[in-house]
Amino acid sequence: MSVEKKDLKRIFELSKLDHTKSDGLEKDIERLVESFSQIRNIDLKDCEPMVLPKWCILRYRKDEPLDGVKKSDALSQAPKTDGTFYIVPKIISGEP
Amino acid sequence: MNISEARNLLKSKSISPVELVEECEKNWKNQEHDLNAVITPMFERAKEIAKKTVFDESKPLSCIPYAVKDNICIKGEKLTCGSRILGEYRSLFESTATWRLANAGAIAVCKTNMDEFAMGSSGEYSAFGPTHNPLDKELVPGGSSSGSSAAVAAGYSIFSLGSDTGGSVRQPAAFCGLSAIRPTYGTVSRYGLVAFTSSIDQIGPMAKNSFDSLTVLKAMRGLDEKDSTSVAWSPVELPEKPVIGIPKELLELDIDPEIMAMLQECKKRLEGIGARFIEVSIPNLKHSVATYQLITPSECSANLSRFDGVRYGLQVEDPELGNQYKKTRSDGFGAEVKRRILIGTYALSEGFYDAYYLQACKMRAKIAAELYSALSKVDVILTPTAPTTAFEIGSIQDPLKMHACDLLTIPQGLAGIPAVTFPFGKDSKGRPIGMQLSGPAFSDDSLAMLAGKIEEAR
Repeated sequence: MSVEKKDLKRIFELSKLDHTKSDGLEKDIERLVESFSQIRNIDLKDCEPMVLPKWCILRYRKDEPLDGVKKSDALSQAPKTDGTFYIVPKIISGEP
Repeated sequence: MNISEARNLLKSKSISPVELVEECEKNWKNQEHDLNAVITPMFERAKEIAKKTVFDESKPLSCIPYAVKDNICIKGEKLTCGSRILGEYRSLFESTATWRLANAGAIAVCKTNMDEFAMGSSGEYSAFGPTHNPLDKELVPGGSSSGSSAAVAAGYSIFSLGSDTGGSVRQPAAFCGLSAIRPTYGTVSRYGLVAFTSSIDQIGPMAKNSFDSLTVLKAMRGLDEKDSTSVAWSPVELPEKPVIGIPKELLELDIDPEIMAMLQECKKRLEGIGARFIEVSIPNLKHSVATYQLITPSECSANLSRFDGVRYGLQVEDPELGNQYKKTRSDGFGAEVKRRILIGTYALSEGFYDAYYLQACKMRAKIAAELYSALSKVDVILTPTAPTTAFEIGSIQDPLKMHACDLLTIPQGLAGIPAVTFPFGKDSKGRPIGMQLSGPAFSDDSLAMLAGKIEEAR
């Protein structure tokens, strides 16, 4: 099964990757999707999906603070900051 | 030098902790130009720690230098995951594994090269260039924990940490003639391990022999509040003379005949120490790679969405935020990572979720059930670790062929069960062959002891 052009464009968009710099990736995606047909066509209707080994039961820890990251340390890693916030390009335009 | 040899030298004061680190540093300086196994050397820091440390026999890894795959956080040190996208990021976190190893006395000496975000099987998919195999510079060291296997094989460290999703500690260990363990899922905390496929990833040790790997594993595993999938250690002991199964489906797979011949030799060796063999069946073994290549990209497409160039790492500026994300991620990620993000996004997207991701999770359940069922009839499953020995750098260009390298190491990851690889002979070109023992959940120690026995019987 080949992947439609519109779907390819959509997954680049959803992945936040530049579609114009796809460097042959589209062909790879088509071949990979093709290779999945081997399991796509198997009847697994009665099979419960597995997302974790059965002995792992997701648990919550106590709602108490652990030794977290200091704000100043976190911001020190940011490409752009004013010391209080991360700075990003303006995302809201026009008058309120 | 292995851990017990180093401990003897330290105990008898034939070598000081600093001299031991210097010995590793010397090996790094002499060979790194050819190997490219290290992204961040930490020898100066290690010597400072060693200077202040006295050998303590009560600590299992006292003063033992080790290498850390660069997707495992050490607080204050650079972290790259073999990618450009993390830029100059320095970790704000200490992984539970390295924290526990420090408590056991081990000293980290370097952060190692790796396939970007642990996606690869040869060590060639790193933004920092390929790692070379210390046994033959023309060959790959395996991947994705490429630098960690090369570091031990070249004597930069006495053991190392890798991370194993589809075989990333076992296959490179096999390619470099080392031993390694993929632990039972949940037994080693993933806190501080940069997530690739959260439901499969495990940190595992690589060393000169299986006893060393087990010593390291014991020092770093255990319940951790910081990882919600972490579980307490609850050992399953296998009989001294185990019943072992070889899956009959191996004959249908594309495995090097020399490796299949060595499998028979390994079987004889195991029979020599009292093991009994019966045939087992894992009918869907052949679908493991496709299943894995749907589940891991799906999880990684979500896990890698955090790399947006706003909070840390690389940022490629653009006046429009959406374009800045795209430019940053397109420049920051390599081709294999992009392929997997795109496939994962496709498999999870509206209209395709049931046909791909959900179907793969069902197939995962089926493969896991077949493994659990086989392991209810036998104590251990024996297979080769990889379908080939180490191959020439640049010889595999097709991503689908690269994915097939993990054919024999993927099923254990899908099922969450432990597996141990150990070196067993060489092919006609002199390249090491790895054999793999897989067992039921929590049988890690028994598997490593059995592998150790075979290693000792050499």
